[in-house]
Amino acid sequence: MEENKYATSFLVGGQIFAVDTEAVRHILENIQPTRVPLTKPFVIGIINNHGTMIPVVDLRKLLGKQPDDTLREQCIIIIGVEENGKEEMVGFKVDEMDDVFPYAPENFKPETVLDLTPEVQNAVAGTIKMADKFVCLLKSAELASAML
Amino acid sequence: MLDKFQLKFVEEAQDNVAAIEEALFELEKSPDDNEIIERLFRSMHTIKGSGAMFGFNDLSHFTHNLETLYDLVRNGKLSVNKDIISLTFESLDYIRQLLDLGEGSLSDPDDIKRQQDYIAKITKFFPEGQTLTLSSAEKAALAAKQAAGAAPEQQQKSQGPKNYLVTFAPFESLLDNGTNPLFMLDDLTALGPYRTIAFTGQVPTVDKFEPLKLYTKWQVLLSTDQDVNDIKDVFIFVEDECRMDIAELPAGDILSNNDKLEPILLKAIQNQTELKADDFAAFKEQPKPKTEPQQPQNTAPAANKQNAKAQESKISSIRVASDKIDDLVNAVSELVTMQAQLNLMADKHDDPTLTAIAEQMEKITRQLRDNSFSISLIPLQGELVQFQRLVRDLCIKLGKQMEFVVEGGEIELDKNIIDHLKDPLLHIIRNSGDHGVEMPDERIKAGKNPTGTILLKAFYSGSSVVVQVSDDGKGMDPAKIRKKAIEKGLINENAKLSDKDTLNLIFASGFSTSEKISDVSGRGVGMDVVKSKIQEIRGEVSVDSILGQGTTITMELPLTLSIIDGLLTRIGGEQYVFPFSNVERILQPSEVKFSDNQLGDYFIYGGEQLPSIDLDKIFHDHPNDINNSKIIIVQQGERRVGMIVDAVIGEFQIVVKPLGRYLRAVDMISGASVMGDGSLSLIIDPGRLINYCNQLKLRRKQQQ
Repeated sequence: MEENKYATSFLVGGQIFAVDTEAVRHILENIQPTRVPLTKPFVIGIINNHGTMIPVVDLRKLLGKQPDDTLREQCIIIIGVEENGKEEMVGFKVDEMDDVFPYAPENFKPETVLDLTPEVQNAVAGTIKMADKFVCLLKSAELASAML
Repeated sequence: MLDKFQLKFVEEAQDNVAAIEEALFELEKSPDDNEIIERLFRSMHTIKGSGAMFGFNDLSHFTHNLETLYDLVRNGKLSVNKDIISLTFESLDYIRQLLDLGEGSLSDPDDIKRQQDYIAKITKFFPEGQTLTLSSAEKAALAAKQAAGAAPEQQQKSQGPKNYLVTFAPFESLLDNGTNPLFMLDDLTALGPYRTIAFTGQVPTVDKFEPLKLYTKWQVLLSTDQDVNDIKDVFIFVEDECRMDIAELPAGDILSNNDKLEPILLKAIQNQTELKADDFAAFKEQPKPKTEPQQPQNTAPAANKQNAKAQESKISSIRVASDKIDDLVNAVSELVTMQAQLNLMADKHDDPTLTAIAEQMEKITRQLRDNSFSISLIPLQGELVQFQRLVRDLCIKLGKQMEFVVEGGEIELDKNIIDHLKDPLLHIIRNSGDHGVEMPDERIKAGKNPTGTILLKAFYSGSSVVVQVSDDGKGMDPAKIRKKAIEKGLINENAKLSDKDTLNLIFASGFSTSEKISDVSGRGVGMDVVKSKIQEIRGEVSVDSILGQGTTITMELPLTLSIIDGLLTRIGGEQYVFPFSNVERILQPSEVKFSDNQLGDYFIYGGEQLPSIDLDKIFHDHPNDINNSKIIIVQQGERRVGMIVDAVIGEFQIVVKPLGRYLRAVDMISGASVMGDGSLSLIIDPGRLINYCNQLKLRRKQQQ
């Protein structure tokens, strides 16, 4: 019997997504990133986290969802991505935080039935089946590399 | 494990090895220069001497042989040739290995055998009859070992002063390396009350007298609390150039007992015969008479003299662990940010006292910043010896004739930048030697000097440092590069590229992964690695080449990495910083002339036409209003461009924070900075921004 894993889930455009909880570093609320020009359209800008500059990605745009101006409180999930032994942090703006939950490995299916932008097709790890919902698990490193 | 003194010795010895290496290159060019040989000799001598002192006996022993070799050279018994120099280089490598080993003595029999082999190689150069020196060397090493072994016993603190008879009979050649025997006697007599006799009987008559030779020997009667090792230490650097003997005399007050002492001394001087320990047998078991008559007056000046000497030789530089400097620079960076906050506070409160304090603080902060940065700057020269060596090794390996010339080695760079520069330079120079410079016969055929030149040139250019490596070799053929790039799928067959752009394809990843891996270049690291390494430190690299005449690789590097003086401006609601060193002047729109009074691609200022860049339009696709803007004339190398911003806020010290790897593509922004109020500003890289705008214009033209 493998151990349970934990996922942190959030809402983007009415759909539930999740990332591996182990990679989540911070969750920030009501922070307006500073715009950085000449980036890809889904990059909002940068925020300062204890002297480190962190790029922030608009997940709605990256995942091909329509923008929603009525949203008041948005969250930025800061995720650590390891590259060559060094961790770099990346922020993802989401509509709303949902839950942190454990799931059994047998409830995870590495398949996708999602209609997403081509940039992030390979960023989907698969689907977690929960009692009351299906959660799409995202691979944060692949999400982040959409910026490159 | 080494203790901290030994570590320090290792560090210093490495410096000495580097100094020897440097001197060797000079010696290779002018083998008869005595000054260089002296320098070599001194460095070797220091390694040997301090090596023995810190327990690196095998190292000391080995270096001694090397030193002997150069002693022969120095005395004209041997002349420098290529073999000797090559052997010395090899020996230096071996010394480095010994130092890296970090152990005082070799224990593995294989290692000992290896050292013996090395020493045999060196001693092969000794002329017949010089073997004596070798055996005395071994004796010296043995003596050093014995001394080390015997040390613990002598550590026992002696009760009361002991009397010693020290015989110091230097060889005639002692003066050759600048040793002053009188200083040694000074040091010796600083240990306690003394009587000295000089034996001058060997001094020849004036017609035979050679002023550079030493004919005198001394005997010192010394009464001291110090250990016998302290006496030996005085002579540690000359132990191979003198006969030195220490005999312990009966305890008690010999020195003040003039009645008995005088006749003995007088006899010795008259007969010019050395005193022996036996001569003092009469002092044995003397009841201790009154203590210390006038001797203290004798010692006090000596001790003072020693102190005075110590004060004279002030420390002119210190060694600091580099991470301490990193910490310092980081702390200063934080301080600069806090300073900005303080300034902001002072502005808000409008309290003259607070403003004055903030201003004073800013002054000091700036000074502190400049000082700490100058600490972390090191001259390029120190890192270049290894490349000199590299070129030399390449010559031998490839059978080529090459000379490595450095211009501007005194230029100082941030040590982190130098760290990042080492590998790229190694690679570039290796390439120049391997692929660039031709074989001598080819060069003669091409009408060139058979000896090729690899020139490393460093110079300041605005706020950057330019490091160039050029060779006068066969150059690169754009046609060949193009062909290869197409083969590798890097460019389309129909791509139109200028020759310069074609040459710069060598930096594309996947270009220089050569199939055959030679020992010299092509170890899988290509020019793309060079480029990414240089970009990591916000530098630029480019290549120029003329077929048949040579190749130049130019690296443009920032001076420091972390703090700059910047001009803060506002563009479309965000704050942007221009490096102050690039800002030539700030103009009102009324001071310049745009055609049709509209912002266009060009404007006229001071009778010159300058290109203009509307940053709001470039960044946010929002054309600026000419009346509500400022024009900043930015200078980057040869180029001058007017950049249009919404407003100029002022001059600030800016702590540069990198944007990280995910925003690397936005290279016209070199970083961000936290302002005093916690907001972020973006730092513009003028050179790259201008390049970007040029490409944009070019693309637009092509589309039309």
